[in-house]
Amino acid sequence: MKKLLNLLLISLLMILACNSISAAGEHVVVNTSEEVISSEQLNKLESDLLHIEQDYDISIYVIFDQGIEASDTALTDYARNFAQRYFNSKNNVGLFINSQYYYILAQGSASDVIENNIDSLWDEFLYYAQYAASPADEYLYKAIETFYQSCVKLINGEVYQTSVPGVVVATPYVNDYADLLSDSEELELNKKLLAFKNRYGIDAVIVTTNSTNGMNIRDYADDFYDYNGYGKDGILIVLDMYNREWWFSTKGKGIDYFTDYGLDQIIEDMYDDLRSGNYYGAFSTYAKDVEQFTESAINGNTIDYQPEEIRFGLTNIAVSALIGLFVSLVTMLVLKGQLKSVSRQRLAHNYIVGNSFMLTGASDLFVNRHVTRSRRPEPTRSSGGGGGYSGGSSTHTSSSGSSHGGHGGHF
Amino acid sequence: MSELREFKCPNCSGALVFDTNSQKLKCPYCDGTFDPEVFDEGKDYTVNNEEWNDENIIVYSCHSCGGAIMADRETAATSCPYCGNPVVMTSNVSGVFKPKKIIPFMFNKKQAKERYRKHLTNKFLLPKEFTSSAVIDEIKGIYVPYWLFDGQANARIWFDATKVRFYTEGDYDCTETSYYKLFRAGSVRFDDVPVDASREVNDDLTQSIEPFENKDAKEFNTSYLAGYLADKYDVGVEESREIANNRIANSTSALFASTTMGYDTVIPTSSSITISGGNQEYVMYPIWLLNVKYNGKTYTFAMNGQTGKFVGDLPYDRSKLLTTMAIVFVAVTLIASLIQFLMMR
Repeated sequence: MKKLLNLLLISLLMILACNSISAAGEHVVVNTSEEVISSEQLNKLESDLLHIEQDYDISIYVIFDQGIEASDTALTDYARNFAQRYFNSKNNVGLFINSQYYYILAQGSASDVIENNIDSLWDEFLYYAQYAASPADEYLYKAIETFYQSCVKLINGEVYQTSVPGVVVATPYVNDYADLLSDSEELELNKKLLAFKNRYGIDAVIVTTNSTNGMNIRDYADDFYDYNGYGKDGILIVLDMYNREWWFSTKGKGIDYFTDYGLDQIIEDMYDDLRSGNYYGAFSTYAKDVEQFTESAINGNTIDYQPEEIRFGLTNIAVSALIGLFVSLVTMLVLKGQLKSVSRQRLAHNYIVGNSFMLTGASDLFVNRHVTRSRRPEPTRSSGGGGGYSGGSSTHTSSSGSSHGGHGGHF
Repeated sequence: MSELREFKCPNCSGALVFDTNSQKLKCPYCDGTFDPEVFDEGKDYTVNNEEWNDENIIVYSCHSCGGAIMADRETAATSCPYCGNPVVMTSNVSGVFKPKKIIPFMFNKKQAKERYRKHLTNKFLLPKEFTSSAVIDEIKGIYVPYWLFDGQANARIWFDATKVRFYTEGDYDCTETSYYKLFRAGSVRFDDVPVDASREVNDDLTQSIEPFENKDAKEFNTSYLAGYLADKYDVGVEESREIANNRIANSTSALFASTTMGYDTVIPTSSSITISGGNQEYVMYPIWLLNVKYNGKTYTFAMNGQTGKFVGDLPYDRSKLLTTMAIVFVAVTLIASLIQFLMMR
């Protein structure tokens, strides 16, 4: 969360005027040695943020104060004090800047998505703010405006591209590299998945691609999850259009919530749409199933393979009767054997002269060898048949060293 | 013309009987005992049986009471049906019929009866009435004639053998069968393989009470027969040798087959077993035979008169067998069902 400020910005801040403005009741505080933002612009920003607070329940603060001691701990303390005093129970985002550091503090259900995108937000802010050196123009105003607009978009789960060239897209839950979905479909799905995330704290990610960069799809999926700032609990589906292959990667609670059997159920629900090319339908089903399975798992009914209940029936009685018959026959033979003591002797072992047995020749000749092979019957994994599941999730460790569950196949 | 011999007590002229405890001839009247190997006080009598037409029956007249003793041609020893005096038909134990050796009885009639009673214990299916109501119809100590054969078996035997190994290779289950040809050659010696030389006594019975310890056999002396029955042989040497050689060959095959270790299947394909030597010896072995009447049927039991080994098939109680089987069947079926039921919970 703490980042060393660019040298560029430091020099910029040195020349700013020192205007102390109280934060109370205000969303934007600009306290610099030079006036870089007009009071008119400040009023405009204040009213915008007030509207956002009312419309979206998101409170955004921008504190740009050179008066805060130039150390990261001081800035952190300041931000925390501020948060204690002014942050409400809803979504809160604060951007705090002193002469050397910046600090972004987010609270509420939005905190994850903001934290995941701190770099993008800051890069974007900086992109506009660096021009604020020139006499009062709209740059800082623009930087602050862009910041809160980006925050609102992120929190609302919109797919958006920063307006800054070279600055990465804010990570959404839908990564449609194979371009299977329209922009509005992406937005719609992302909203659903974001709402899901806000409700359950689980990242549900969609990735479509035409290439897994030469990796096997499992590693691709694991790495995609691990290196794109998703949380510790989640599920990710990759569609590799080139190989027409799918793979689920699960992590943390996702491993527990989505068992091998559960993942098969999800893909089964999606399968018809996947085959017919209705990808939006397929991913909507994904979003729906993921939520449903999570809900179920939280209620203690994790969707998992239930071995078919074996019922005691006629077969068991028949088996028992066979055992009973066998034992009674053995009993008969033993008891009748007690009465039988007369039999013809076939051998004459009693009359062998001790030590007279001599083996004068013995040879064991290997003649040939014959191998028959038969294919082992594989455990049949028919859809819905339930064969081959041992229950639970199979896990492995990804390149980042974290444990993932996973499951995949072709479509 | 046949002869009878009686053994008179030198002290009181009472009829001597061979006593199993002392292994001596004993006078039941004055308790005098005499070593059978030195006893030679018997007198031979000649008996004329011209009046009798059946050539298989010979009539002797008892020298003690004058009663007629009718006996088979093969009978070598018996007792007078009137006065009970033991007699020996010397012509049936002399010359070619003279046994080389004899194993004397080590168990007397009383002990044979005890063994019989013991034989009836611990037999669950034996009808209760058999123990309580079956009566010993006849009990006789009989010296049975035996041919003993020696022989060296030389064997050359070929076997086909296999070893089977199971393993998995990828998705396949593999069964590897290795075939071998085995050859075994060698020899083994057999001594004193006995063959019952009396047609009258059931061979299965005499074989079932084997073995007799031939090393404890004594030089034959008619005195040992006193008080017992005895037959002379009526199965020839050659016929008997075949039986002995069969057993020797079977034993030899089994012995050589047991030297093929480590194979999963061993099947003899061809064998040549030649038995050489083939000396034979004529001996008499002691056997107690018991006939028991039960439900109109006669059950025969035999006891090795030397070792006491007692054999004889017994009848079983049909309803008891069926009841037992039904109880076992129902009980096991219920228990197995219960176990399966519990395991499914």
